[in-house]
Amino acid sequence: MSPSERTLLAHLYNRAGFGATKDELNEAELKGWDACVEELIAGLAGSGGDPPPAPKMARMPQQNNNMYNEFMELVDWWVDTMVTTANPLREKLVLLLHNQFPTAISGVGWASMMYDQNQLFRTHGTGPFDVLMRVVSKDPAMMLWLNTAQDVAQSPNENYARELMERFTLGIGHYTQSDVHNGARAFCGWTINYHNGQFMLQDWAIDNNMKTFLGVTGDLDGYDIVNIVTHQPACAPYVTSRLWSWLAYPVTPDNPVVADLAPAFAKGLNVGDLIASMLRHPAFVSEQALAGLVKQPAEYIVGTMRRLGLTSKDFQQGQLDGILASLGQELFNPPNVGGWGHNGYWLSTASSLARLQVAYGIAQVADVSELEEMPVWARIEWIANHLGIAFTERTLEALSVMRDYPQQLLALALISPEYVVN
Amino acid sequence: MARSFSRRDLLGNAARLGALGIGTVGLRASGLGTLTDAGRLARMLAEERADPSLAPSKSALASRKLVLGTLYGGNDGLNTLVPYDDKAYIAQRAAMRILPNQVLPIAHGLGLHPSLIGIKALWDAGHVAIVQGVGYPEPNLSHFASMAIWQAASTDADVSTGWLGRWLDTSGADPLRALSIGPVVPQALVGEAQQASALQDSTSPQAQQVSGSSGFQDLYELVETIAASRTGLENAVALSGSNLVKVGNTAYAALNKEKPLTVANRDGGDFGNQLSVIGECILAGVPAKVYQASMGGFDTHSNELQTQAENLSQVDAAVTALFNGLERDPSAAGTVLLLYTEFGRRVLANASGGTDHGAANVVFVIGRAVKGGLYGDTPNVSRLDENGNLIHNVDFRSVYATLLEYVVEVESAPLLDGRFSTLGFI
Repeated sequence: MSPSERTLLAHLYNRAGFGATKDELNEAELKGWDACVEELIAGLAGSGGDPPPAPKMARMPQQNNNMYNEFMELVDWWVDTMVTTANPLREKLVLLLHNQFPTAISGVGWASMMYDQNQLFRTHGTGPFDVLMRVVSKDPAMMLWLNTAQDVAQSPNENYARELMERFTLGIGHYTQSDVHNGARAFCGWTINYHNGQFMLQDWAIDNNMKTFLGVTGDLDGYDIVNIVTHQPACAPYVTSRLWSWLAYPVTPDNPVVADLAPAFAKGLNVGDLIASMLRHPAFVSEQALAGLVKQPAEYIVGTMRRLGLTSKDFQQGQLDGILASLGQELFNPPNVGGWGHNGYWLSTASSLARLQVAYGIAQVADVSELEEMPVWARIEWIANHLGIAFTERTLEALSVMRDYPQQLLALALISPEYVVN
Repeated sequence: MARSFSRRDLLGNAARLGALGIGTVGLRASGLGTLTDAGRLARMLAEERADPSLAPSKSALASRKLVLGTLYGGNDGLNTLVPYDDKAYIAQRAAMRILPNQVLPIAHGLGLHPSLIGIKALWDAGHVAIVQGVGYPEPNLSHFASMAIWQAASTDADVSTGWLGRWLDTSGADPLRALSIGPVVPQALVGEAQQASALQDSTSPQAQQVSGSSGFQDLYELVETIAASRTGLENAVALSGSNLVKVGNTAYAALNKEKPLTVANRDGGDFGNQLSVIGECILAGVPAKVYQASMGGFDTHSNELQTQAENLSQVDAAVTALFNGLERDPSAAGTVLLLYTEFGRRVLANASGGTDHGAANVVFVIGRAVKGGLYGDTPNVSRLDENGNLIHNVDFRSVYATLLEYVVEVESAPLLDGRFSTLGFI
């Protein structure tokens, strides 16, 4: 098997999952590219029984006085789910959907609601896009985060209608302020039953008058809005460009790759099919794609834990959350509804320092006995194989200085540019 | 968007340090946090390696520094500088208005939000300029688009650099010219080829630069040697690594030398933490010309009175602590703070005790070098645009032009893509 096929396979598992362990890469080389791609795609429909048991969390109408601890455990739970999953592409999609529909526990307040939203991405993320948008719009965490729950006819709250179009489905320039306002009117009455934390329609708050939204006039309600936006011409290119930007390299909706992929998505509106078409597109293994993305902190941590055989049990309570926060990507707590960025976004000096500290910390927790037992000259190659990367001359020079110290060697490898870039 | 917790609410300092793999609650291996002889030696080496120009020189006495205070979400300017007697204000804000007996009066018919007691004191000393009616033509009501406009200093959506990022592109390569607090550098400080360096959001020196076991110190040095590689992104990773050594050492030395800036009995929150890091760097003589701190939670679609009061109280405590702290050092007298946000809010209150996105707003410019007072015209609450928002009369780029010319001390026109007349507040 040629090294370059191994490189391609490593790239596949980095992007369509969280990276492959050395054994997985060995197996993949035997199966070949096509079989691996099809296996990943088949895993999209993987059973919902995959994640480990959820932590204990308060739900309405219980008291919510342990939220901070529940949140820490929930982060651990999600990291473990990604580390141990048998369906990496599906779990990768859950992470991408968290980025596409950023919702923060700081604005929601209940760990259980964040968990429910996460499960919603798992259950509905690979199916019809309009169904996904419907359940996202009715999701209690989302309704609290973007104030749908407080949207009443007497005084419509524009937050959700705006972000639904601007960030979630269409992008700026494909709607007007009037659409925002009338969309808000259509969602009036959608709220939460605070006795059980579930979606509820509040009759007195509904706006029963005629509205015009993106050219459609009628006594529109929230379901109509979701239906209309997901069938807008701008929707397929926009959503395609967002997902491609996370899977391959950053693009805008007018990119030629988007022009290839969007039409089928516009017709079938199936997210799973869209993802599959992305993996099968030649640009997915182009030079641009191979060098195109800095690992998101979640990918970096999960991928490293997978390759080194670590789970949340190897860390103290709250430590994984602190690590992700210091790297700039605190799961379940994005800074705002814009979510996170790409590439240079992750490369400030502060996050580089945090990455250095994290790498050193992880190297101390990992089991490096195999490294210690082997001849010094073989260590770097062992690490390169385990991490699934090829070091450049400069990096090899720097690494050789540390050959005698397995932990430091591993830490240094973990902050090498080759490993930090996907 | 509801108010966000500060990370301190969620984490607490000890846990956060531990999570970084250092200090009290280290990862499950021993020896990471204890201060050994090697650790002490490493600290000494770090201080030596830090920027030798730490002692303020005579030219630094007059040197001005710009501190950007970015408030995310759209702070409600109408309830910050309050036209408390205005009939239209009273009618449209109704139960959500600030009352005449609550405001801190500063001019005829205008008063500050009651939380701003420290800023009021600075106003009385002549150190606060409030520019009214600041905005730009065709106000954009999207957080991201409007904040991007403010950060890019351009209404052209294709501009992806920032007004100070473009200054960084043309003023050399020293990573210490501009320092932003927090892992993500905002667009204002991102240029084509360069961006501001980022410091950790922590007043602990150790968080800026780890010392401890000598093995780690060696690793740290090696980061500097992992340089140019195959792709542009890998180069960027390598460069950010080598810059971090210089910046980390400098920040460590500064925070080690100075004490955190606080104000008794008041909580500046995470914003206060960030301004404290900045203030300590200034006092320690770090040569940065520009600093940036940020705070979120201003998008008050509901429960605005309470949320804004808490937010502004934190801002006020943070700003007060900063300027009280800088008072000790005459060479810090040139520090100028800009408080800005991406837009104001709708004049008419909604039914959730909040407001939707708006347009024209106030900005605050604070510092001993500032000529205090009101600038711009007070927007007419009875004459609104077609969305029910206040109309601007000062383009925000005039504020930037003034700061570029008189604080950063560079020509503004090339950086702002056009001439904007300066205002008289410096």
